[in-house]
Amino acid sequence: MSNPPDTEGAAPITILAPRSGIASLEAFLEGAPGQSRAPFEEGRSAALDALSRALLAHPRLKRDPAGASLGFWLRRSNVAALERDFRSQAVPGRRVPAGLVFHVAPANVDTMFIYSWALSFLAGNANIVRLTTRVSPLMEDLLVSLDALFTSHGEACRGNVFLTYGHDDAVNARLSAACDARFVWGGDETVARLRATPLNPHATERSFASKRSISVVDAVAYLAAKPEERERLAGQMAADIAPFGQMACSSPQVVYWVGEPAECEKALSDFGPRMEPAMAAKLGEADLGWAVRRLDYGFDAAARGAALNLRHQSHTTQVVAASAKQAEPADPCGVGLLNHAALRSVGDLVPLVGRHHQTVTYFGLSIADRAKLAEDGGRAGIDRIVPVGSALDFGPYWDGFNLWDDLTRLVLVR
Amino acid sequence: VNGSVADAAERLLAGPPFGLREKEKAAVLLPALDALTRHHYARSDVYRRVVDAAFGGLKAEPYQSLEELPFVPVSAFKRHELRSVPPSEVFRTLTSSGTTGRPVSRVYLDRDTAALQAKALVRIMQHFVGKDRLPMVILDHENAVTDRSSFSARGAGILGIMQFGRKPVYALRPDMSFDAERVDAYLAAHPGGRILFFGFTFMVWQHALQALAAAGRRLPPNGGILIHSGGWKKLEGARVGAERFSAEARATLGVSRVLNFYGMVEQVGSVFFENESGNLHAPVFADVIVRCPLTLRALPQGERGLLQVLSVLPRSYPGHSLLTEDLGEWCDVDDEAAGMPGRSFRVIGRAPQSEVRGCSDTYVQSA
Repeated sequence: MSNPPDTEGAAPITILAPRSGIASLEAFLEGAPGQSRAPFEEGRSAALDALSRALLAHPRLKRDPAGASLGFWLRRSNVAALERDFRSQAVPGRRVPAGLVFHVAPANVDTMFIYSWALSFLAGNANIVRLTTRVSPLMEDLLVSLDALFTSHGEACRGNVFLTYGHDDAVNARLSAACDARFVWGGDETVARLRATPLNPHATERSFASKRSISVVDAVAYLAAKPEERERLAGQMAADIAPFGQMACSSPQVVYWVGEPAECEKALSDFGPRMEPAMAAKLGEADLGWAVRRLDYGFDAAARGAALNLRHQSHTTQVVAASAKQAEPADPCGVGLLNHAALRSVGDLVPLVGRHHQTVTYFGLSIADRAKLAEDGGRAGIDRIVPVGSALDFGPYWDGFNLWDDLTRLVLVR
Repeated sequence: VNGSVADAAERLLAGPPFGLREKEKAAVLLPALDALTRHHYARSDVYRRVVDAAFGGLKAEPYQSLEELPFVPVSAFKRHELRSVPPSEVFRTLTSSGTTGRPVSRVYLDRDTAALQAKALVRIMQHFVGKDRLPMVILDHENAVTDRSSFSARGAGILGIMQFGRKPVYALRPDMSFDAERVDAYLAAHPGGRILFFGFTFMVWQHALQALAAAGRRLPPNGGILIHSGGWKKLEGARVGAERFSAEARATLGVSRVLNFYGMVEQVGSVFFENESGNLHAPVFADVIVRCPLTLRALPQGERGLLQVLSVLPRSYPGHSLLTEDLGEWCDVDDEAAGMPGRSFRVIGRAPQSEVRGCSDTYVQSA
């Protein structure tokens, strides 16, 4: 690249974990080759299990929905399921770790840096994880737990480092030249910025651009459901939108009700009022700033003619869209606002989705509905079709990619 | 213009600006605001859509209380053309003085609304300053008002207040430095007279009071009045509150009264001046409601929430009932000590901004 490195606002590199033992980034990079292990080496599975137990025993993390989810995800039974999945993939040879993976973690989902790292760690890689400079209290707690893990499971964790630095293309270039794979999370601008930074010719890149998610509920199935089941659905919907201010790419912003208009209306009039208590149960005390943001967004949608009805409450705002086409905002509001629209059939969703869509959460869709949506909606851009309540469940199949392929090389053996 | 709408505003403007007790006031305000709500609903598509979506449409029967009237958030003026007259009748467009690159509010005035605003301001100013026009020093510079086609809130504010002074002079140069020679010459030409000073709170502090203090100067005591407006936000960093500001203004400008008012470009003329208790006071043609941002419920005295401002003045645009972004609480109703009947309130600050981290800011905002 002919541009000089951007030194404006350059901040020093801060190593966040392990807090001691790594003298400098250069020293780490020198030692990185040869630090990879066989995929799913026992020491590493045990390390993640120890981390899981630490998070689930942590006074704050165990109470935080995102912290607790991460704790459960890291536990041995889930790691064993990941291992089974990894080993079940028929390949004409042997999978070996990619080598050194450089992760650029997103700022909108506090726990993402651990998910991205853990998958790569299990695949046997050495890892450099770059965190946002705005380390949240939740991230701080996670880093302290990680630091303890580096002490208790030093051998398994060797070749891994968590760090942060500011707006610095020179550091990005250094790490990109050293790594074997680059994982870039966090939106179009970050992806564009990193993509302009040359990568080692042997390395690969997986980038996760800005995505949106939606939900589809079959109105007839909803109306046929018992009150307890409806209540559970509201709780699951809340679980999908309450964490991270609903700004995770997988959190739905729109609920499409499928059925005759009268059925959709009836279903929403039952479901709508259930969301406020469900969200209050997840979030606790309501946030004034969030409420003002929802209010602004809702009134703006009304003024634009995109909203027919607005219902503003402490933790939620319900916007009934003037039409299905107008239901999804150009710039999502998040923070507890759901847009609602009616569709005659699941197929009517297909023209409304594009490559910027990621997850469709569903309730009441048949296997055939889901298969059809995967086929037609998938070609249009959808990456993921999961039940309501599972939007934020991370896994090795993400944004339409098989991350095992990105985290390993395949040695052909004949 | 709808006859009943015009009559109600005229009637309220004819009497003393602070003459009505809260109950008497509501009895006059409510029908006027009810009529305005219907007037705008019939004329502005944007307003009609908001009332339909957020308030379930226009009430068929008259509104029963001020709290029941629909409202529009002030932010709507930044994104939508809120207008209840055809473009040909727009006589002046006011814009808020926003930060560069940020959207600004646009407020469309026809001649009637502009005249009502001017009249309202006259009533209020005469109440506080008296009928005599005093020699006037504007603590700002001339360029703030020179672009007449599209006024900023600052320019409109200066021009609005300027008419209450005699031979106004600008105290600042375009580079914001204090023009001591000019002010000295002006004061020398008006010996012994009360002087009316006007400026925006932050600029008065920064470019007049601080500049004079740095030069070790004080203007001779003149028994005059400083009127200022614009909010305390920029002064929070300097830890300057109302008391310190007033004390320094008295000492430095030689005035005997310092009066703050709260107002916004979306409701020019409908200003809320400090009363004797230091609280902001609603004139007869305006009122304030405090709403919980979480539930939008109208709050009782002493509870903090978003301020909603009501005014009978806006006819050419649906700005008669606005939900502001300011947090406040109402203090008193018909406070005898304050010497004025009606409702008074306090502004506490801006509503908290939510920090929402979108997908795309890993680097963009991190450095």
